[in-house]
Amino acid sequence: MSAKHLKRKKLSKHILEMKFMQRTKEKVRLLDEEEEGRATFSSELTEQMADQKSNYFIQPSFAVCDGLMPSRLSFLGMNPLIEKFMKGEAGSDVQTKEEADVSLEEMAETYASNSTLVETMANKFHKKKRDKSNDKEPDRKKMRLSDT
Amino acid sequence: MVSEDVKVGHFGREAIVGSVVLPGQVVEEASSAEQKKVTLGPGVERVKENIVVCNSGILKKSEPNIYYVDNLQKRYTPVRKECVIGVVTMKAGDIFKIDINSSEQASLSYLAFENVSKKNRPRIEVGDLVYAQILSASKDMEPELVCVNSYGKQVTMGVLPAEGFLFQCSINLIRKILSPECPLLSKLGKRIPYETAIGMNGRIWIKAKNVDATLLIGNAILASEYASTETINEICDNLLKKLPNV
Repeated sequence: MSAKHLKRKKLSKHILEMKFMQRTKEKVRLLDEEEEGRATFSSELTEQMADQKSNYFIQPSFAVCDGLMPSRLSFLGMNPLIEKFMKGEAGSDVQTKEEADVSLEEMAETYASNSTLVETMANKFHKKKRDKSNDKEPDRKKMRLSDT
Repeated sequence: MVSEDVKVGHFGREAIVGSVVLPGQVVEEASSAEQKKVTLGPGVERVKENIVVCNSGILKKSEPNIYYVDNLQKRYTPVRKECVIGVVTMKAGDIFKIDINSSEQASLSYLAFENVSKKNRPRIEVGDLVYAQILSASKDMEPELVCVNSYGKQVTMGVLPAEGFLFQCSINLIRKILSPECPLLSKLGKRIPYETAIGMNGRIWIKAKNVDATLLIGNAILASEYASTETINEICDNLLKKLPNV
């Protein structure tokens, strides 16, 4: 078991606590639990037993067997948050999407009202275009440099 | 849940899908399916090479290869990952004791909420209702609840608002109104603005804009226990007719 322990890179607790590591944290937890279970029963398990695969799964919940709907519901705007979850498939995108402080419309309006800003932004894109066109023919440029 | 096409079982050794079965009968169909993956739902157990019924009811099969016994049940047996409605009965140090209608009270840690810390405790009083998920359910230990998913998000769980109406019904009714074929909740939802939490432990919490609407929804749910889909539609129409404009 210790050899396996060494093989797997361990992530520190502090890193796992970080917001972007939540998925990995879950994975690591599952692996740890599995290993722990194996260690606990290693004395009682034979090799054969460990290798055996079962085609039977136990699912004690009616909710899965019957394919039931989610059980927290809201209709006609009684609880907008719940309705958001009902629409967005268990809120997977609600979790990832953070609400913007400045909406897109607001940003467009601010930029439109301020002409200098528009120019600055326009300049930015012009420059980029120029850069790209230069990038396309770097060979010729180099040649010229070597000529002089 | 009892429909007309249920066959009366012959009560021999073999349990037949779609008929009444008794504990001890063998589901030959599942036992012989060697290569296929089979899921054993509630009421079906594996004893050595045989798949044996351990509850009396109607043996059902759903896709893919799920066998389970559909029985009348009022007492709740906790199952991991199911969502339940609990009543806070006691605050004991760092856990809350929650009554979830099962043989034993469940425990809920005060840290099992979103955005709480040891200093910033959740505000929960005795008598509050919580909508929570069962984290662990075993025969030998008390069930444990959490109000967050595995990513630490509360999603739809947590303390239910104080205004609302809680009532109890059989677990079969819960399964009936939550099945995708049942038109009841969505049909009522087209006319009446309301919010509901339905616990797999046989508790239903409703919040509507006034008492009339709340009672109407409650009555409609209780009336549909033994009703077919058409009857449910009729019940809804009749009740909605009586309701003044909400």
